[in-house]
Amino acid sequence: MRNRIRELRVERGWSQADLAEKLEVSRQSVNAIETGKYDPSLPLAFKLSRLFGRRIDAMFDDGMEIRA
Amino acid sequence: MTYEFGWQWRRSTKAAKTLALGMILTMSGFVLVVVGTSMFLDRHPSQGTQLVVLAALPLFPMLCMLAVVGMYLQSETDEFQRLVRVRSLLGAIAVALATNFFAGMLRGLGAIPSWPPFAEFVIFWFAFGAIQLVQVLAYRVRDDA
Repeated sequence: MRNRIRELRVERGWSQADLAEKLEVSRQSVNAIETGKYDPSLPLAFKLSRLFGRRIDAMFDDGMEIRA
Repeated sequence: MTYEFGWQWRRSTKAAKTLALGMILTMSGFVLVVVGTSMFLDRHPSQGTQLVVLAALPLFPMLCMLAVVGMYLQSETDEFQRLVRVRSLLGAIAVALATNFFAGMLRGLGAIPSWPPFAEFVIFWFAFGAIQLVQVLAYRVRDDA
């Protein structure tokens, strides 16, 4: 899944280690999420949402469109 | 490499450190119990209940090892790290079972002699370590751009 985590992190001048510390996960986890190798669970996505002050759907894009 | 290991250790979660220490302790316990039991049986050939009890002794450190892994899976707060270790466990189970089945067939057909005791157990943990290493390399963090 594509996401804007790296972009949002760099905007704030945080390193991967800084973000990992704030999320209480390993830097390896942050890197895996940023590179799209791992999609976080809903609780971790909410943590990211609160940290960056963005809605989850504004940070993650699954490439699907909702049809009415 | 030493620096890398030190960094990894410092950055490991509390659960991962507990897992590593627990594995070292239980593996050491396993080796001690197996060697101790074998030496005892060499000097004091046993039969019946005593033999069954002595043969069951290595089960305890082995079950403790699995309990340590189970407690780790329950207490790990880093979901990605947990996923990596679950993958390693499943991979190791697959390797151990596949090896056991394949060798079992060959043994059944008389193509190979019987294996040394605990061979599957050793294969399982070697496979776990190897798969873990492959994943560590696959998800290696090179820069912090």
